[in-house]
Amino acid sequence: MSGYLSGVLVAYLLNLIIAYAVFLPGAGGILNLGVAGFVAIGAYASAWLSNEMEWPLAVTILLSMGVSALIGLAISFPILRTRGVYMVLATIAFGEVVVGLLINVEAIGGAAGYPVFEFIDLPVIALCTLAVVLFVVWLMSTRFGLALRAIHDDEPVAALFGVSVRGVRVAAFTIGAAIAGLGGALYGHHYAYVDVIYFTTLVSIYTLLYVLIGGVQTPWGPIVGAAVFSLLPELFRGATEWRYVFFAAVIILIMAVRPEGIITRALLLRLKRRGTIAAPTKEAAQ
Amino acid sequence: MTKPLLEIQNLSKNFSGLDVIRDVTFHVNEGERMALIGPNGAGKTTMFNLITGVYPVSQGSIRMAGEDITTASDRSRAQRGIIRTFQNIRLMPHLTAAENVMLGQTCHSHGIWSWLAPVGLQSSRSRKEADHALEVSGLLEYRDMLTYDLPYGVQKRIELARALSAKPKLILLDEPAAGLNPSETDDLAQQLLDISASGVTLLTVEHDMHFVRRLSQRVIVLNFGSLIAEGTAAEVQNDQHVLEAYLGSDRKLEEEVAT
Ligand SMILES: Nc1ncnc2c1ncn2[C@@H]1O[C@H](COP(=O)(O)OP(=O)(O)OP(=O)(O)O)[C@@H](O)[C@H]1O
Ligand SMILES: [Mg+2]
Repeated sequence: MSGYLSGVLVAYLLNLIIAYAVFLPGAGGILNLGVAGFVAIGAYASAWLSNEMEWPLAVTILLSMGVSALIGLAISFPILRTRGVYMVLATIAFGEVVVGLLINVEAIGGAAGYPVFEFIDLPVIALCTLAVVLFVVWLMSTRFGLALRAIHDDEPVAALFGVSVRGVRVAAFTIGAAIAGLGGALYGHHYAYVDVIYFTTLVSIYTLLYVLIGGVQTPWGPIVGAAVFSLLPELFRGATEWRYVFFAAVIILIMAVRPEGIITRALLLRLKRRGTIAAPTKEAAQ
Repeated sequence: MTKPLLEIQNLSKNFSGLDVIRDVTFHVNEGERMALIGPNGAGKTTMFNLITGVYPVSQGSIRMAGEDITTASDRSRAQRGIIRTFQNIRLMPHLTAAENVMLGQTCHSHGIWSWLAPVGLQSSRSRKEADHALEVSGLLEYRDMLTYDLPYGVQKRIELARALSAKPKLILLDEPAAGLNPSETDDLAQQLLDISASGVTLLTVEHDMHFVRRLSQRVIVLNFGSLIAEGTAAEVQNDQHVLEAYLGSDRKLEEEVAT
């Protein structure tokens, strides 16, 4: 595989992992615009653990996911008390606080950035991405996933049928934080360098944007959303100056045509039904 | 069978100074079919919202099966068997009919394993139960369809199926017959009688007095938030206070008898 191709692919896969971190709470109606904060926590935690402790990568990555999850759990309580635009602002504030703290810790390089010695390449990243996709697809098919989607549609009614609205949302937010931590850890080990400027609110905004473009109704949404975001600009590479103008125009067009995201539940059910109509032999035989 | 299941004691509710429920006391016995009627704006839906914990009460108490639930959460009331339908259908639009029904089962999900049960699989126990519930209600053909563009009558039946899948002790029905045609109304009445025969207690808000007569053993009447009459359907229909209450409203009791 050419360096260019594998470079684009790694970027896509990392974006996809982070997309799932935003998707999970998003499926329950939580807008997390602080995901870059969790990515940063995962990146720095794993970098520090492998640089300083020299623990095996599998351990440092799992631990960094745990750290990110714990911080996610802790802040989910105040954040989930807020609603709408206040929740958006609270999560942005979280991301900014994380970056603000990290930049002041000399042990991890401070403003100068932090080199990461252990290297992770495409195959491991691809495997991790696959694991995340399978995990989220599975989770969304459990009663937990059903409850999460019910909360998204009608929170009061979900509670009237026994859904612990707070518990489910806290869990979704926390698991999302762990996934973001994984994305961050892989990021640091792949690019061999972490710096707070990679984890700004702009990253969070873009991630939420392409998650919404893909759609939060099904776990397949992020795959498409992250693809649009990571691969589309590459297609416009020829038109160097106009590249991002085209890109923005396409994004706006998609949002206008598919306001609930490209992949919706209705779309998947329609495709499935068409599939069963195309194959009527089974019923004819009965 | 005269043990009270739901006991409402001196219940009041006001919304920023407006008294919507005023000092109401009544009870529903176990296994009973009771109706709650009253002119538009009398406070019937608000009463349901208080019983299910959507709103906190201003004064008074609510007991379920002998236990005080006045301040219990909406979720814990569902777990105690209080389940409702809605005057304006509140199905989850992005869930299929089967998933909406499976949501009803959630109040009996305890422990991590039941939360991780794979309800999305066609072969899962939850899914089979939901399919069975839909089949019993004649709704199987809709099971994999999103509910938002299904016909109104079908949506109402799915709502009822969802409520039943919660295995309620007490089911609160907010105008279940509204918007249904006569034959649908007839089927519904029969279905509710069957549900009652299976041991579920019914409290029904309904304007159609013909339906109320057929379904209910006892009727209570609310007007401007106050309880003004109680008795059999025939008794309350001839009650002077009730006639006056409906005389002042834009909806006449006679009309409701006619429909
Ligand atoms: N959340 C609320 N805030 C303020 N006022 C409310 C609220 N909910 C209900 N009300 C008021 O309480 C009164 C009773 O409303 P409610 O919906 O309980 O009546 P209802 O008997 O169900 O009427 P209908 O037959 O039209 O359904 C109405 O005047 C309504 O405007
Ligand atoms: Mg009402």
